[in-house]
Amino acid sequence: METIDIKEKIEFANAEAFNRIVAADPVLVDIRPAGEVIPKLEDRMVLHSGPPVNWVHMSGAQKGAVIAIVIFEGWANDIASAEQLLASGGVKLEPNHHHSAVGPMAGTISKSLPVYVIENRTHGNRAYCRLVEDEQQFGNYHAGAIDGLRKWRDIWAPSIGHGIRHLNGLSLKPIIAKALQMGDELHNRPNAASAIFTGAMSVPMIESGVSTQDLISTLTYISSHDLLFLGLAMASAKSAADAARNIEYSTVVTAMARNGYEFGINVSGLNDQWFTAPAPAIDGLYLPGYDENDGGLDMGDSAITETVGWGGFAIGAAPGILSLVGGTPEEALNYSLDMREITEGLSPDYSIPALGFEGTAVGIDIRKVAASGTLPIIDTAIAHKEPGHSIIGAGLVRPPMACFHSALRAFAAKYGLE
Amino acid sequence: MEPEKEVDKLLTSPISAINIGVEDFAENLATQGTQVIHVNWSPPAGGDSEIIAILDKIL
Repeated sequence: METIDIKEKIEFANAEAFNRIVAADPVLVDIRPAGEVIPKLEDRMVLHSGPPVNWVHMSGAQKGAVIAIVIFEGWANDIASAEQLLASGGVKLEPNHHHSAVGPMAGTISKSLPVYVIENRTHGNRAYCRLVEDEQQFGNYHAGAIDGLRKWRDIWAPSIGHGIRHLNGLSLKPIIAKALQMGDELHNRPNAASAIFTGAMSVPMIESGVSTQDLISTLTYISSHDLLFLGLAMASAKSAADAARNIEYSTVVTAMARNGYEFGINVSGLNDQWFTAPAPAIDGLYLPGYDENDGGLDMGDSAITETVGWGGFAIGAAPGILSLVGGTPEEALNYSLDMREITEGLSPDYSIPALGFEGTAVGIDIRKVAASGTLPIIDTAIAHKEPGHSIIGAGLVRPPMACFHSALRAFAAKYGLE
Repeated sequence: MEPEKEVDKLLTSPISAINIGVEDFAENLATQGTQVIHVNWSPPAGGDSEIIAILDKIL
């Protein structure tokens, strides 16, 4: 009867993983330089998106973003000397996910770069995500892109931070739930959430005594930044998914992440082991002047939003995003419905109006993915294949099935099913 | 009914088809005016016998 036993153990473990994800209560408690809040972030270390990768295999866009960070931190003065430093191993490279962190696209985080600090009040864990912009995180290492990071470090993040601390934290669950009713899916379309967040922070920033000059600069920037909330959505998702890690026998996915070289997944019952396969190309639309010959492969930690049921899983709530990634409203609804086939259940709090206000699909089960052949759907931006560029497009992508098959083989080995 | 007459009926009456798997066959029938319903289906686990064996034990 061993077979029945293990099925029951898996069902129980997966129900626990699902409950932990949907019960998460993310609260924004601060925005700080990463070196002050991420415990094991070392001085000359750059965290990056996706599974582990070394400098040699790193994708062009991620290399460009790392070079920009090296110049931003003052470890090198120009592109050539930054490349030399990196090629010599003078900077340690580690995945964000190994530090309870996530980052969009190249995902680069270093000690001086501001990160949002999210506390999951249900489970007590913290998660971090870097700021979101549309230049350096795509691999642009030119002066204008690095200046954007400096403004975040010197003006925008400190101003927002004053407001957050004045509020004693900002609960994000109500903002996320409301945004899904306003046409967001919280990955490539967090427009409504960004506007709600800007509104929520305006008065606290004034009350906390931010200087008029910094206040005008910050409000001017964040009030026109449609993707502002993506960093908050990602950190919230990370805090929820991390709470579901390391549940024995669970086959629920706790991370999907890409570095432009490989796609990797983590599975709750398999500790923090990565299951990787070559990163896929993205089926998408390109900005004027670019086409699929320019596009890099899939990149970014932002699929943490899909991991908890947002992004592509909630795309039926966000028909407006289709002008960016392509497709029809009917296809978008079908994507959201299809995800039910491979997940543990529906969110009790985050719903899709066009599906009768039923919840988003949560808790990707590697068994169901492999059995059905239905892969998670992810909507994503596209970076250039070479360093030095900003965003060039957006589209839809699915993970390689090989990641799920590798995880199943590891599961069989760990739990004695061979 | 005699078996031969069943075959005659099949060959002389309009065809209604249920197509499972490869969609091209359904499209070809539809192009010729045949009533056809397509069912999306693919082998479990893409036909990978090792994965099928694992899934049999845990799903």
